[in-house]
Amino acid sequence: MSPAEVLTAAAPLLWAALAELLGERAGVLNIGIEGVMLIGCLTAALAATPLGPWWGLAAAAAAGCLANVLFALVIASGADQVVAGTGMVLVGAGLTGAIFRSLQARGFSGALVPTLPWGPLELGALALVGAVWWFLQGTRAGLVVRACGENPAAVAAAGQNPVAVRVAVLAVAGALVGVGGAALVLRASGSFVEGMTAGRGFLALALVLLGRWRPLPIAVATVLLGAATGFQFHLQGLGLAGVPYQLLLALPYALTLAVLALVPPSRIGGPAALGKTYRRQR
Amino acid sequence: MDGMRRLALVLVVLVVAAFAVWGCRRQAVQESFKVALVTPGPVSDAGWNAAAYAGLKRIEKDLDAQTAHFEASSPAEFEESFRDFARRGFALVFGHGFELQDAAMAIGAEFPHTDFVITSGLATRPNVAGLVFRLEQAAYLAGVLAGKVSTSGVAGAVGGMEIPPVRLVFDGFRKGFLAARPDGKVKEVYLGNWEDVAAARQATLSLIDQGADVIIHNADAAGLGVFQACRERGVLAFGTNGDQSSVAPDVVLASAAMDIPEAMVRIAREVKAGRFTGTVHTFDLASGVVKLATNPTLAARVPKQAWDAVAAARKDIVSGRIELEHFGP
Repeated sequence: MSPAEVLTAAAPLLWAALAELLGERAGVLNIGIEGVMLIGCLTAALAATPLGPWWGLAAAAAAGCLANVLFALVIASGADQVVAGTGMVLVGAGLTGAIFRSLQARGFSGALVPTLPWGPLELGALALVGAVWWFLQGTRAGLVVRACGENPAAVAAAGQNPVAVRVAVLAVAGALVGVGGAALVLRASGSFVEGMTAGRGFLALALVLLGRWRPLPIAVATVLLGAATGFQFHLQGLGLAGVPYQLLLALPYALTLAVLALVPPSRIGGPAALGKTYRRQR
Repeated sequence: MDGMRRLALVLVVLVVAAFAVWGCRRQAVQESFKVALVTPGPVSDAGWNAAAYAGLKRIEKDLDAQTAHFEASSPAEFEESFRDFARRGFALVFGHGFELQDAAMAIGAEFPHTDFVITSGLATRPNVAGLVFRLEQAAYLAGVLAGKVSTSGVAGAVGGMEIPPVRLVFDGFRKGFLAARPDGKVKEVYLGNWEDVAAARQATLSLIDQGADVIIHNADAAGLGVFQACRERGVLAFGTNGDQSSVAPDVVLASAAMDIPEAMVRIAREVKAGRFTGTVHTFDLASGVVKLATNPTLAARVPKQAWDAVAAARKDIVSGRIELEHFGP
């Protein structure tokens, strides 16, 4: 499996994981990205089929942004993040399934979706690693975002509105997740199938956690996972006698876990206010 | 006032009685052939359940039957729905999947006047039958064709999970491929699920990297990823279960297909004529229900000698000269 193909396989997950990282550094545990990603997938396929892949990409980003803003507004109203996120997973899976089924009856098969050439989505994901790192560590806005994740009350005391910051961060993150979904459709498969994210949204959550909320370890782990998955398929093809394929399928995850265990902890735990409901003090 | 109320009551009773009499008469007039289908999942899956629903609709049209469908979302609903249909006087109830077999045996014993037919079912009673499709025979023909069109002599097979129906199809394909290419090799890869199209594409690319130039899949919806990889690398693909030529007309050369609606119509016809037998009904190549469905747009590219080999293999399977491992008796 060529490095280019490894990046194609890893790109959807990388977009999603970096989006999740942004949200979590702002203090929002968004477990709903599996649902948002599915919305991005279906939107990409629906827009790309008549209009071309670039419109598919743009539409997926817009749909992801919209879905995440809805989620952000729900948690801004004081709802529990885990409950709202679980709702998002169900809404994303149910909505895309229902819409796809009704369109299927009218002849949209999900096959033969126009694809993008290699490059924009793969290299874009790599560029995003640097961009997220620079934003969080090197800009004033990044500092405010991180402060929202550690102590939103202090941000409010300093005259900023943490709720507004979180909504803005989630809007951007939603667009990135949408792009991840688009990468899955427009690069990695050229098709739409119900439930095609196959757990990548949850995998992104795990990668952020294991990468200890830092872009570079997250990116390394994601690409490693993509490479190991390809290598594992290669081993299956070689037909190693006596090795059950389930074991080979699990190999990439075990390997990623082992590598991430070696990452030195720079901090203990995640952002201090992660997952906590914040309401404005009156 | 009291008289008015009494009059109203009498009127209501009269109306209800009239409806009841009319209803009974209607039922007596329309003592039609009633057929029901219970599926273990949604019929919008463009695959397994959708095929059964299409069969039910054909029975409605071809046999002038009154039909009903129930989507069972849990195993508890298998028996419940069977009992309900039997009580309502349905002559024939299809249970679409091996998992409905136990429920059919239990309810079949309670209601001897309703016939139950279980797809992939092996248990039988006088009023419970099974439908078995010998899809591995069509897969063997796909293997022969693949062996004739392959230049590298390496074929790939991408499966969802290694369950018996998938393994039998791949085994049939391998035997056919090796019959046409004794020096050939078939490489198998499993995804671990049925919907990860991106993984299916990645797995297929890795098989192509290992020299495969013909690919068969049995991965349900994820098969779209297999076709995409074949499209990108200019490799021919083979579909399974249904005729998939229209799904990817540029890469699917042929499909190992079973015509589930046709099998259902044939069984329903037997029930209607009173010739139903509680046995396992096997549909093979000879029945025409299982076949190698070829893609007319790509078939012209294949040399005649390859089609001759497929026709010869078909003859050998039908005559019993070639025997394949299969499901059921």
